[in-house]
Amino acid sequence: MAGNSLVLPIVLWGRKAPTHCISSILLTDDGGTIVTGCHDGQICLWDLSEELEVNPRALLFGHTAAITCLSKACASGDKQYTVSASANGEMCLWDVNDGRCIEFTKLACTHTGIQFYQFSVGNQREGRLLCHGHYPEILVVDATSLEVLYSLVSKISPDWISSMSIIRSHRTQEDTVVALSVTGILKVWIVTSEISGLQDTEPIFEEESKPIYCQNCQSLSFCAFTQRSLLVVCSKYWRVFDAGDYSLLCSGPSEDGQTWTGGDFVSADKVIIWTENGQSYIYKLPASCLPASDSFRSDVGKAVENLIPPVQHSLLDQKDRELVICPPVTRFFYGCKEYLHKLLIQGDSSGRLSIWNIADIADKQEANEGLKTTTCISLQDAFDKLKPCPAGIIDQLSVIPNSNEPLKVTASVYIPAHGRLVCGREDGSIIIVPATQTAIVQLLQGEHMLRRGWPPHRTLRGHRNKVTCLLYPHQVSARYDQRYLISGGVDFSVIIWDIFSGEMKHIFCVHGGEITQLLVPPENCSARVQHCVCSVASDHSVGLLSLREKKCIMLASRHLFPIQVIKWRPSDDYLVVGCTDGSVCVWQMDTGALDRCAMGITAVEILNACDEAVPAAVDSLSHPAVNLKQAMTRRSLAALKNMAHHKLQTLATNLLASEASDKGNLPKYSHNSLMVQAIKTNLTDPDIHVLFFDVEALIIQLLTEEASRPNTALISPENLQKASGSSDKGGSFLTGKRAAVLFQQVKETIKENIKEHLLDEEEDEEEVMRQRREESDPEYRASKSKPLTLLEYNLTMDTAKLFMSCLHAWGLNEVLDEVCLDRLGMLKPHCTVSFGLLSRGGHMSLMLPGYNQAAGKLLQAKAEAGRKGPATESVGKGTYTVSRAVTTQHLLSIISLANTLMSMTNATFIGDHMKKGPTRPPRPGTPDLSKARDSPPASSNIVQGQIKQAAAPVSARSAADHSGSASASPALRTCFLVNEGWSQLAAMHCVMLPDLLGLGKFRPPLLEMLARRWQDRCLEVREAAQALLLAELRRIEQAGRKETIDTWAPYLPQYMDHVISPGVTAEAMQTMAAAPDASGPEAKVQEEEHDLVDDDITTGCLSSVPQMKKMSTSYEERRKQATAIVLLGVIGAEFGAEIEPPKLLTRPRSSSQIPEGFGLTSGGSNYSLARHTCKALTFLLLQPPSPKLPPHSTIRRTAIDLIGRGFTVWEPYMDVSAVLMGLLELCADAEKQLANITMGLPLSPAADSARSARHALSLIATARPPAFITTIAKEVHRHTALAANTQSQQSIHTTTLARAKGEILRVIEILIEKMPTDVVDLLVEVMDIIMYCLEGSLVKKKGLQECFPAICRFYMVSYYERSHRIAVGARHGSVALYDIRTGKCQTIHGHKGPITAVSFAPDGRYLATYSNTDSHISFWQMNTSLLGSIGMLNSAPQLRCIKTYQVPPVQPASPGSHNALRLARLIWTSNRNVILMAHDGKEHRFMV
Amino acid sequence: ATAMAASAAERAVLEEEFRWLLHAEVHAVLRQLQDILKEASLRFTLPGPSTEGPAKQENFILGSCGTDQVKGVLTLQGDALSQADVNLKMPRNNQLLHFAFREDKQWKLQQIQDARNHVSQAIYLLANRDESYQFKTGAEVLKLMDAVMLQLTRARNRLTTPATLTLPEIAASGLTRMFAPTLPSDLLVNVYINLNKLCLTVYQLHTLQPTSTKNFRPAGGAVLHSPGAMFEWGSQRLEVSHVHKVECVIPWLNDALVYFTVSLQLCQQLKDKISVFSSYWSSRPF
Repeated sequence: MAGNSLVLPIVLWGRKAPTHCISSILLTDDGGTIVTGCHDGQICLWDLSEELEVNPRALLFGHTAAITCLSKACASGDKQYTVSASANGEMCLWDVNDGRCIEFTKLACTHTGIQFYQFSVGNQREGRLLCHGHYPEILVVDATSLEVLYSLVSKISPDWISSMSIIRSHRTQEDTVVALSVTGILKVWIVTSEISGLQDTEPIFEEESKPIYCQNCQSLSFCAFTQRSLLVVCSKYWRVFDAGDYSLLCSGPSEDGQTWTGGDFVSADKVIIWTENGQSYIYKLPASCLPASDSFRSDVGKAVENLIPPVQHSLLDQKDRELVICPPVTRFFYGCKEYLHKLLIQGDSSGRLSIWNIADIADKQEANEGLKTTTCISLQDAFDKLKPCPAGIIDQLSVIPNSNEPLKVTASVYIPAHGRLVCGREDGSIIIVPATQTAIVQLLQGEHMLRRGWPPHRTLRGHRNKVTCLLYPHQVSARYDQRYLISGGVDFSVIIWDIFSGEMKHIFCVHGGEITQLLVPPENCSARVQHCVCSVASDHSVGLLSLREKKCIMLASRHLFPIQVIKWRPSDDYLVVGCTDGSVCVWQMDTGALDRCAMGITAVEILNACDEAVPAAVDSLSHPAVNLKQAMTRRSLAALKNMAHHKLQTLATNLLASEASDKGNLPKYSHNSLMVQAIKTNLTDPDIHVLFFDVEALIIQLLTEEASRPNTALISPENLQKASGSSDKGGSFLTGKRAAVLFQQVKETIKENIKEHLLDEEEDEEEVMRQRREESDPEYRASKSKPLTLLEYNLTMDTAKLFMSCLHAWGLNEVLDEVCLDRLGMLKPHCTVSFGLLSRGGHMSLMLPGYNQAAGKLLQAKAEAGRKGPATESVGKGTYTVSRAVTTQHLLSIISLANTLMSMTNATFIGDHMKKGPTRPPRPGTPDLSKARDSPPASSNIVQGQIKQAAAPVSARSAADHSGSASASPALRTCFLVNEGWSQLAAMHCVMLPDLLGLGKFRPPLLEMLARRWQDRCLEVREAAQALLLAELRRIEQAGRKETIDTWAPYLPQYMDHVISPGVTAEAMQTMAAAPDASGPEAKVQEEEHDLVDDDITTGCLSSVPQMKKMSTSYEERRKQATAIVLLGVIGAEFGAEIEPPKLLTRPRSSSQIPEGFGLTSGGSNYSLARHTCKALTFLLLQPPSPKLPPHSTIRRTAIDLIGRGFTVWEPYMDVSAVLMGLLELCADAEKQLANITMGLPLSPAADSARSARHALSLIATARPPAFITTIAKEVHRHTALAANTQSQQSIHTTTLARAKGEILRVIEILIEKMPTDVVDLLVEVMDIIMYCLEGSLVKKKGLQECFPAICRFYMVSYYERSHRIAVGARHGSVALYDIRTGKCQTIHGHKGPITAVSFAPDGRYLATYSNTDSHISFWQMNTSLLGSIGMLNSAPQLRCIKTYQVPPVQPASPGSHNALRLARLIWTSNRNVILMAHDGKEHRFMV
Repeated sequence: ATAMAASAAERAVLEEEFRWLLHAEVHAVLRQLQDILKEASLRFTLPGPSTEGPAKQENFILGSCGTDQVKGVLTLQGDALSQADVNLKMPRNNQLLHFAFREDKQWKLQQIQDARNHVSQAIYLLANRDESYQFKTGAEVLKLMDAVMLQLTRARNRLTTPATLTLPEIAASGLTRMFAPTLPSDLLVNVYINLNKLCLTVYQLHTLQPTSTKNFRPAGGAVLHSPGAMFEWGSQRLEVSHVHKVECVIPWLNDALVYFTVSLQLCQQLKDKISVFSSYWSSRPF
């Protein structure tokens, strides 16, 4: 997951498979996946079936240099982790199942070999990676965090280790590492569990060091069958040694002078050795090498040359092998317990995998007969097999007559402001095309398939040969003319184009080689340079080409080596050119003079100095993977990170601008929901295009467009509500108002964000600057809105259409599919769409086309596809059976988008697209026919007829329940049906998928990924995540939940108990938490805190974090802690009551039976989980803000939300008062911030916390009214007491209470509404709170009735205006009399039971009270004389009970109902007469 | 039509030329490369199995053109320093300090070993493609050249860019524990190769008082720290007060570097020649 944003890539691979020159191979332990690394840094995952059929599944991007080695990184089990290392020292830990990058690191040294080793400490098992490479030691690395723990070093002649093996001896119970140095010295280290126990960084020295004279050692392997011998393969010979004393047992030369590259034991008596050109030979070992034989070690010490073992088999090569450009890689794998294949796997430079099954022949004794390969497949083969061919981005426009290969796209650039993609092709032409439309053509089937020349495009011709690079400078910097597009070609020329008119403006011919790169100089260069672009050519020259002067102002040539990097030093007017050999040339831009050349350390320093000066202008040219990585990293760091913020910025400027000029006519803003990135795995490859969909940005765009639509709907929302009855989400507010509300909200949020941006130092300077400019420069804004002169279309809806069509699980529910096609306007994909998965730090996994084709069934599938059309079973539902991570992301996206679309009026994709096209017959191809079988006959008409109108009959079934809609107008019905369609779509994906797909196939979403989005910034995504998480938790049922708890509980951080102990006030707690000595767990939380806020930032500051515990620096580990808090919080909050002992199943109200938690063991420790979770949550809520734990962060918000949801579970473990105060503090200013929360737009963090806190408060109050009321009342008393004592000094605490008055009243109001019984029970306390919260003067002026009408509903409350007194009858029979003027309260005792009603006489002289329990009505004389009132100011008023009458008791209508509160009331008819009116209408009259 | 014919003739010539390049010229260059690199690797006197006995010892007297407060005599034996004598004149009291390696100790210069290993890997790559090997494609040659150049660049970079170390790393390195008498706690010593020179740096330190008003900022990694750099070691905060750097040219390293540069250029030239053709073949008339 890159940052916080939910970004999903879709790849258009094109017909040519990416170059995959294999450099290393690994077979996973379960034998299900082959992992290959290539020289360009990608890693390919291949599915291997039981029948040894191979199918490529995914390509993993992230390394920027050649992969040097691969190793498994976890013991076994359901996790399949693989670690990869590259030539430049990068290490990545991948989850092979879904292609996620779990952890990555970069060391200064290159690893050439890694071996996994499992240490056992007690019953704890810890994975270690033993790495060797271009350094004279073996590094021991933690297998989960990739931290270097310690190293194995040599005392005697240390040198690089060329190969290594771990020997496990069952006899001695000792594990030894045997390694061979490049100089042929055998080294032995003993690694036992004790060693892993001491976590020192102390190195371990070798046990033994023995020269065995093996030059150019290629591999070292230990015989797992006998555990007595070692095989050493050198380039010209191979040798077998005794693993006990390392004495030579036998030796064999190479065959025909070939070079050996490796070997392994096939069985106890056979070895397989392979050569550099891909041949392999199996040798039978002589008896002297076999421990089982009598003559074992008989030849030790003798000359071994005459003992050449015979070749038993040779494995034949492919006869028609393609030309290889470098030696293939071969490895031998034999299965462990459950997997018994013995496979020799070879990968070559053309991306071909060949597999020999050795087990087949191991027993046969036929000599010298070549063994055929069992399986052989290359990436290109897999691509070629597919029907239809893997789509390229503009294949339909690139068809050449007389050829079935489309023209290759050799360079491309995406212009997001216009949604246009510019593609340069190998014939020198450049095509400009709307990106979504061309993608729709390539991916989805529909009427567009038959149109010629669709999508609309423009062709620029000018280059005489391949276009090598494209640049749209305006996108990088606004100082360039937005018409200009720059292209460079193989024909040495650079051309300026005008994209609006399509004309060629100028041709530069200054270079003597093909153009390799076009760059933009940074902002602060001289004015002249600012209007240049920088071109780099393969003749090692760099040019500065002025677009304004139309001439080359500087040409820096004669570099001896290719140019690797261009850097700038604008302040000194220097252009710094870094070459591949490490030399640096500094050129003066103005004069074109070569200032100096430097090498070595000086060169490094010069380059670093440029970085400091202009951090943004780094550009590396050497390697395509580097560029990709940089692009990805930059995307994820800068662009993706602040997508929403940025989005809002643009929105704001546009809104403000529109306000000034013309309301309702919004100018276009740039579209960020779709980004198209062209990648090359190798410089010689054509471009592969990756479409990045940002779900959040898309939602925002949809909502904004909805709001800005001038005439939103034909129907009023009231009608809609009546019709649907359920769609409260739909147009629940007036359309006219909606836009205004939205504008308001957006503006508010933006103001906040802008403030944050300016204040926040960590924010990207660049970003801020851009924002500032965007705000300040009206011309810039205006220019942005100008469209290309191509056909106009709605980019947002098109993007959504493309995305939703790709995400929907087609073919699972035919009715729904119909609805999607006909009513919602979605289109079926041609074939399975290749999605991808983004991980942290620019790592990315992209599915290869046909990833879901079961290996070996390709041919049948193809035949089937030919007959039945592409819409076969395999299409669509594929993505939900791929991996759990993919499912999670896709479900989140589709549900949040469906909900968004549902909330819009009539959001259908029909008609938006191809409006101007002629009406066409039904979709081509056969899918309609196959569908028609089951669908009602009407459906065929639908397709032909006007789509909107005809939608009704299809959905007749579903619409039948809502008969109300039938009477509505057709337009209304359409709209309703559309909304219903979206809701069905969301529902199916949310809950029905497991059933529809079958549990065996369905990969359920990952709980932890959902938990991390529990409080996502984007409300729609948040709701989707919550719904999905709860649905999934419900689906896995109690057993599954228990399992989840078991899994995550260990990660829960343990907080100090004393932090939140009862009786400690919030201030005390805050100071305590802030105190520096409260160290360990807090620091950890702060870190993990950070993670949830922004994944990417964390990686940067990891190193600065002090190391608390060994694990704490691991990103993954810390994130797990945060996830554990959330996940356990959710389970506790939502299911807490259920996992306890059954007797507590019903949530009782009385405090003695509060649910005790959700521990699993029935022993005494079963509250610990609830307690720890609660501690963690409260800690997160109350921890004072710090740089690492900002006041309004995601995890804090999550904690708030979960405290609210599960209050009944947490209550016994928390300091309720502190928590309530913390929540009140957060939502004290809620009114201001939350004025208009309606839409799913992201809120400013502060507003979001306020919203969550407010919600949590309501939840707490309604869940435990007595707790809430008594706590707040206590606080009120405390505050008033404090205020009385020290009038000047106001503590934080009290001001919180004072500021949150409005919020408290709001909650009280809710309580009165929902829980009147509880309120009545504590009516006096409630009144205390109300009295505190209400402004006394206001009540005096307006009266209680107007100030707080809710409380006046109770018969036990009476207010007398003239004397400003309030009488409240309490539960225990007393009456509290408040005087608003003084704020004082007086209690009188008169009744034996709860008071039913109180009432002041109209003249205020008498107060009548009635209690149904003791059936008495009492009259109290109030002191109303002037003297009395004055007296009341200082002393208690005299109150006398003047009369008491016995009344027959009123029988409650039904016990326990709310009516109990309304048993009887007192009505004064005159100053002296009162009527006691019972609920059943009986009246008793009394007179004073 | 004539243009086409001309281009066809041209094409044939080009093809012929390319074949010559692949079959003759490439091998000539490889041969040359191998010779140069073998010469280079000879410079790294290698105590291998062939030449039994300890490698010969070379003495280098280190000095600087400026002040002569530090003098050092280092003895290099292959890739290891076998003896070292350092004389330090304390700037304050003109007191003369003398340190030498302990008899039983050697300090390995990892840079030299790494460079030597990279060169031998490059030689190994080249040796596998002798005259008997037939190159079939240009891409094959390019790939080989890339691999060789990678090793050569690394070999050269190891010598030209010494590791940047932080002061605590220098303090923790084994070098400080090699001396007899042991180094006083206020001295740090580092030895490295920079280009063709053997460099010795001596840092004099003084303790920062906890009450010091100086703004403590630990220095990052650097090859040569400047006076004023601060760091934390143990519980102490230290500051570099004086830096002395002395160096001496190692002639055979100089040779090796020249060989590296020449062979890198040879490789690049071969690559350029090949890629001219490659780009020609890949382009198709439209």
